[in-house]
Amino acid sequence: MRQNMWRASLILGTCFGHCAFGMNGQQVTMHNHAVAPAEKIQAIESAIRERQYDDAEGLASAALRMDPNDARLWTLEGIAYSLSGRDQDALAAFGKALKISPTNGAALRGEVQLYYKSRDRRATPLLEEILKTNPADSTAREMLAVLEARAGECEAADSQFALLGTAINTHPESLEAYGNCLVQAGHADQAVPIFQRLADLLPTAVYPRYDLAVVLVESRQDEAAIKVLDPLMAEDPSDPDVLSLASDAYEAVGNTPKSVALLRQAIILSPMDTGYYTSFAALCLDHESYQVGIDMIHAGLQRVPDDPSLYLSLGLLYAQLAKYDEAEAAFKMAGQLDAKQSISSYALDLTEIQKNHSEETIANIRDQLKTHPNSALLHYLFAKLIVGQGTDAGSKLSGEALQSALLAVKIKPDMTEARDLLAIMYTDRNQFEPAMEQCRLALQSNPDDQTAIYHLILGLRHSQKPQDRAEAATLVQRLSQLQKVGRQKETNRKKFTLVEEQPTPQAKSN
Amino acid sequence: MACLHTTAHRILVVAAWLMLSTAPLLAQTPLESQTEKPQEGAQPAANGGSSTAGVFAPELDAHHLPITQGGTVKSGPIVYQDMAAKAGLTKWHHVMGTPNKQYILESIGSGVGLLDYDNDGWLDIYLVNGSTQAAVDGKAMPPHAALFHNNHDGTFTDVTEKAGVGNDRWGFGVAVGDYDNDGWPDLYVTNFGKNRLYHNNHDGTFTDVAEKAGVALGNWSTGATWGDYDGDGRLDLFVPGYVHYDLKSQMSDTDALPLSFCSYRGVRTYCGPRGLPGESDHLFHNNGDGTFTDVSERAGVNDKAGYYGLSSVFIDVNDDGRLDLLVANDSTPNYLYINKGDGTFEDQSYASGYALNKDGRETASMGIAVGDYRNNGRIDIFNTTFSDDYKVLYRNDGDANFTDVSDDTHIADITIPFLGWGTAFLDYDNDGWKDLLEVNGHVYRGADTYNWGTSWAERPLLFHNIEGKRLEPVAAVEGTGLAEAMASRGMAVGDLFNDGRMDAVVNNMDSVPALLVDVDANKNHWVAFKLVGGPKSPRDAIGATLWLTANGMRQRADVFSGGSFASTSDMRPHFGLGPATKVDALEVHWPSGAMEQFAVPQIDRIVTLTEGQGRPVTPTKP
Repeated sequence: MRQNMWRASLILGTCFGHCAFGMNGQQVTMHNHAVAPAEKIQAIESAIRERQYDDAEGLASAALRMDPNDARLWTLEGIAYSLSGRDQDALAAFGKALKISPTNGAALRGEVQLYYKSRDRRATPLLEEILKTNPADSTAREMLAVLEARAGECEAADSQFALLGTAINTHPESLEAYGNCLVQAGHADQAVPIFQRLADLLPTAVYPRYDLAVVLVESRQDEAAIKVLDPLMAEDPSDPDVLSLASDAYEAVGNTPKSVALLRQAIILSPMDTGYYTSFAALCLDHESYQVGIDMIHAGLQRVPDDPSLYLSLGLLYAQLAKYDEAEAAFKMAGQLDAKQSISSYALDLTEIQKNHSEETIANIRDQLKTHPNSALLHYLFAKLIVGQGTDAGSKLSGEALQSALLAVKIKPDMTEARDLLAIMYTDRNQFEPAMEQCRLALQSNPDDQTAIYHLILGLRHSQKPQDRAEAATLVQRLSQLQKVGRQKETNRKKFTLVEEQPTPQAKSN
Repeated sequence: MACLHTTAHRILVVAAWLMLSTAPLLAQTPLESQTEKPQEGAQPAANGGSSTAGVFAPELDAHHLPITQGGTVKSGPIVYQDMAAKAGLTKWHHVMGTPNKQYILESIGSGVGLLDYDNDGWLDIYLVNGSTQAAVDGKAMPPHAALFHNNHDGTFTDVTEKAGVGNDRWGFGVAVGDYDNDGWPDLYVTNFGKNRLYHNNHDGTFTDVAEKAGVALGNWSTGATWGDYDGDGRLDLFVPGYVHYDLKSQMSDTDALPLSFCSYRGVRTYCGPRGLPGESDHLFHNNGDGTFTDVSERAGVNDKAGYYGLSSVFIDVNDDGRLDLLVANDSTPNYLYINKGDGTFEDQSYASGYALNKDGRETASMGIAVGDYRNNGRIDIFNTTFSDDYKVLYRNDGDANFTDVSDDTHIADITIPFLGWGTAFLDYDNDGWKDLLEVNGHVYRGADTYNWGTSWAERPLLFHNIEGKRLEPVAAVEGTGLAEAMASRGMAVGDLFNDGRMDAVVNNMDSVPALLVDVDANKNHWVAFKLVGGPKSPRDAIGATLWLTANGMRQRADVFSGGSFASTSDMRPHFGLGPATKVDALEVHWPSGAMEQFAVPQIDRIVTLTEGQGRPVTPTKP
């Protein structure tokens, strides 16, 4: 049942006895249209109340033949169609009613309801119209929020959900949409209470608790996530998604053995899911256990031989061992398997640079940018290479690098690496104001970006303003604290390396 | 050729996160994957126990040797020749632990001190030695440090036994300073275990007074520095601590537990320093009566964070006439303490830009070179770091603001495969621009087994200063000192033969030392100065700054103890004059605050300057 829709009786209620009235109850001027006799209206309404929808449709059709410009009759016909499941006919009927009487509340709601049911975006302007007239219509607002969430307009959806407050507390679909939108907007921490409510509302369902665990992990509340995930795993130890998520949480709290065991189990349960192999590779990178990661990726490739992400992972692992020929081969294969992705080109460029072929790489990137002009990564890499060459800040090439870095952040405003690079480039030019601006923008995307904090401090140190000096002092404390925390985390993380303890899953011969 | 190793790996780290970050999706509504969003902050993961920039492809020379070992040329100008054997230095052998280097304690190595212990006007050499587990357990004779007396003829004589400075402990560093202002240089030797303060008895012998003086400490001390931080005319002592180490619970490269801090490029190595507890730093105030008081905490330099200190130097970086303090920390941020003039220091490490490199990343700093390489009157800093990382040149922009200019000076890429230790600015060709020398050597024996593009023994790197704009590598000509691959650690530079040439003594791990004699063919002129401070300055004038004008340039040089890696170089400031045959002006800023001008009637010699004998000048900020 969808709680965030008007109940049929509510729509009917706006019509029964009031079909001559607009949404606000104001009298609708209908003197230009013929008016059906009241007894006809009452008869149709009776049939609808008694769920005699065929009768109601018949009565309405007959009455409309006599009074085709009576919006009430079209509305009642639409309601009858709607309740009997003839949505298209219902929409046609509501449409005619609204053509005759554009502010007919019952017709408007009926039409919106149908559009909403079919996830049709045409509901949106209608809902906005309803809300314009009646901002307190929480049902309309909730429907609008859900529609916006479904359309990926999370900022708008979140605003609507926020206005609804506790009104959605018993509506699972809305809670879920709100939670998802908060996550997409990067507010996983704010999504925690939303998914907690959803989980409370549907205590026997698995997905709300899983989602809750996801946002807990995302918001680094790993202990809390484990408390959610442990019972889930006890209930069903064969859900690889739950196992994989639990692996993340256990890794975050420093229990690497458990993390590895869970991820291995996820791979065994779902050996065709390449995501688990790449997760394992990431774990191996973290723990500098590159060969173990390579072995696991090879096991994955035996089962899913044409997956580009596995080859990308393989390339990265080989690169960590400085086996650049193998890395390059893997990146090339990834590129062949998914030529649309600029990331393979990017990875290939990196291996070339690592092999000291930087000049060729710059030329390559120029070519690649023709194919992938909107690749923020390639623009960033291009700029970074030129900066790394020690190019004179006043040179044409350096100017080109600056433009490339600016393009990278234009394409991808949250690309903190590119913003950090811009900060370095501006600092090299003694342009501390734009450098600091880039640092601040980087920090908006990632408040823990130590490079940005560092360069912001350096910029502020060049300022003569007392408040800037004070801010620098505060940032020094923050950076120092971040580094301390980072070191502690690293110490915890690096207590373990991964070793081969059990065979990786073998491919079955088909 | 621009290699851009750093750049590439820096980006590769981002790529790793881009490609392998598999954030779980919500159950019901798949989120759009954020393919191009970096998922991690600015800090790439450390490689094993040390901070590096990542992993780089091996760069091999034509003979398939790693560039750290090979990369030599058949002919070219010869700048340095190793004359250690001829000089008699190779009778002594450095020993530290076992050759396999199973433990971090065995791998760090030891420093060198240059001092004129007998005041005969010629530099002598003190070489610190390590030790072995068997010696510590009393089951074998301990290796001993060596004091080599300069015979004034290119040879040296081992006078250790007579001098009584054999140390016989697990030694790391040496700092030279006349702490009692008696005109005779004393030695502070740092150890794993108790340190030594060898007081010079003026008769060719020394007496260890560390316990009585209160500066013995007891765990793992490294590259100390002397300096009069409070302006009372007496040298104080700063001693960095490395790892708080326990021989009974060492983590070796063969222990069963697979710790990530015990690996390099996925290969098992000894553990640390990351993952091990840091040893705190100590500042000892000289009480003037032969004793010292530990004022570390009050002064704000006690290293509360427990960083892994390896080298330090007192030097005035903001030109306020007070000695500031630099500490090179391994795999943790470096310290820059600004002297507030009230007996305390302000930690300006991050704010100054010295704590981290350009990427905002902490480095595995080993050694420090300080010097004004641009001849603009400001002290710049160079730090040596681990292999797989560039070595960092910090340009002093004034007011204790430092900028990493390693890329701009073209020094970054070439240094990446090398694991750097001792380092110094020195004008090897006397052209008036300070060049840069760095000695190298790996800590992992596996460097020769695996294809890491580096090697256990590495050749030194000498960079020629091109008018303060660029540091250009000097070719390593086969058969010369610059082509000699060594497992180097400590290095001290100085004019050993009073000929105006800047030589270098290198202490090599588990090997014999090198004596790199400056044989560059230039005909440039030079002048050097022996400073005598007092009564309000330390007698050896540590902390003095000299400003010399000649050949259309104004150069700066400072008198300091410590720096490099756990070593002390020649404390006599040396200036190359190029073709100039006279010094136009010389100004000395003494530690006492006095400023004097001296006439330098003759060049190509070492001139003694005594505080109070110059012409006083009105203090103006340079």
